[in-house]
Formats: sequence, structure tokens, C-alpha cells
Amino acid sequence: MDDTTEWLLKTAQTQAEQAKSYEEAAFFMALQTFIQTQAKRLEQAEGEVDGRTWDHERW
Amino acid sequence: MKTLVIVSHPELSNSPTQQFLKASATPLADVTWHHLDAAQPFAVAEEQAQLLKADRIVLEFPLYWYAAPASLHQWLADVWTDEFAVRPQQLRGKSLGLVVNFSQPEKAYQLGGAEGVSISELLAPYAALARKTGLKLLAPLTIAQFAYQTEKQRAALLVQYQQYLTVDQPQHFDAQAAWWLQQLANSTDPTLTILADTLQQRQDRLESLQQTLAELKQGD
Repeated sequence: MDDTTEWLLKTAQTQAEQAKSYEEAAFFMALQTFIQTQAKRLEQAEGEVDGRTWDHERW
Repeated sequence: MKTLVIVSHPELSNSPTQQFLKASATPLADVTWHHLDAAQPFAVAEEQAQLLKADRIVLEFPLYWYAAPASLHQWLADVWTDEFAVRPQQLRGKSLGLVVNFSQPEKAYQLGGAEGVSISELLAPYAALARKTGLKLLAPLTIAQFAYQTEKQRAALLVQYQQYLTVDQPQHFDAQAAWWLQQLANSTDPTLTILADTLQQRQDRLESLQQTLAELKQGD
């Protein structure tokens, strides 16, 4: 996991722990799942662009 | 977007699932939560007026013997008349959502599963109703075994439900991202501003990569 994703997750976790209402805590708990999904999609998209760019059969 | 949630449940106060969903919808400004069993006998003109005002209609109910409870059937029979919903096509262009909960695991509802029938098959009459009345059907939001859900699963459900009631295309990741960013934009906490900016930059990067991929695929 890269540093930015780690910071985002940690920040959302802290916010969830310090939340003043159930709804706020739930929001930041669920935000962690969004952060992970976005990071995964980003990694996959970067990988696919790299893969297609360096595929010599398509040059 | 104005959303009308039509809840069919004979014992609402005894349903932890419905109480949870009701509390999740309470902070949402443009959402009306309407409990059918408390509104019987139906004031048909008022019910129809509420439907006309909504941009999204959500039918919410537990599965009883593979179908909705009686109040939803009665409401459809009384309110969704031919003269109201079919011939004039007054509801055309609105969206129809379905929020359905059940006490078996999700995997029970599939071919070869414990129930041997899929949720899509059971909800097929609502797809037919949407087709007939010109409504755009959303993929159903299903809630399996709420009683056994962990805190994390419930947190995810709260957000998923709020998005289902308020986001134009709640199943699309880009639309979900826009929802998160919009929620975070209301914060004055500097840490959250940095967090929101970072998520926005990542989303922009993701959309730019998807654009590049679409162009690369076009060249294939």
C-alpha cells in the first residue's frame, strides 16, 4: 500500500473514532472502503495503461 | 432530486432493519419516508399527488413468502390505477428503486441455492411494472441477515442506502465518488479538506487513465 493511501485510511479511521454521532462514525468507517476501492481501481488502471503501452505486438 | 420511499411492513417498530433504514434516511432533506401500513385505508388522491412530486420512487419491504407484505399489493391496486399510471404515462422518466431485506444469506437466493430462486426472479413483477409505466428501474438494494451484520457492514449499508436514495446512478463508481466528495466539501476541518482534495486528485487521475484506456482500446 502506498503512503498516501495509508494516510487517507488512517485519517478516516481517526475521524471515525472521534465521531460525535453514530451516523458520522458510520460515514468515516464506510469512507475507508471507498478509499481502498479507489486505490485499487487506480492501481489497476495504471497497470492496464502500462501493459497496453508496452505491448510490442500493438506497436 | 426528490425521493419518495414507500415502506411496506406490518410491524415497523419491531423491525431493527427498518428502524435502521429510517434513521439513515432522516438527515436527508429531499427524502420522504412513507409507511403504508399506517396510512390505510389509502387516501388515493394524496398518494398519487406524492408520487407525481417524486423524481425517484423506492419500494422498501421484507420478503414474506417470496413477496412483499400485503400493504404494498393493496397500495398498488388502489393507487396505481390504469387511469393514473398506465394510460397517461404520468410517471414516465422517474426512477424506481427496490430495497428488499430477508433473513437468509444472499447466496441462498440463486439457482441451486437453499431457496433455489434468485432475487431478480422474485422481483420480476416490479420490473414489468416499471416497463409498463415508463419508470427507469435501478438494480435492487438487497439486505441479507441484518441481525448478523457487523458494525462495518452496517456502516457500509447506511452509506449505500443514502446513496441509493439520493444519487442519480448509485451503482456507478464515479457517481459514488462524487457523492463522497460532495459530503466532504461541507467540512471546515482542515484535515478533512486535505483528505477531500487528495481524493479528488485521485479521482481525476482515475478518470484521465480511463479516458486514455478508452482511446487505446479504440485503436485496437
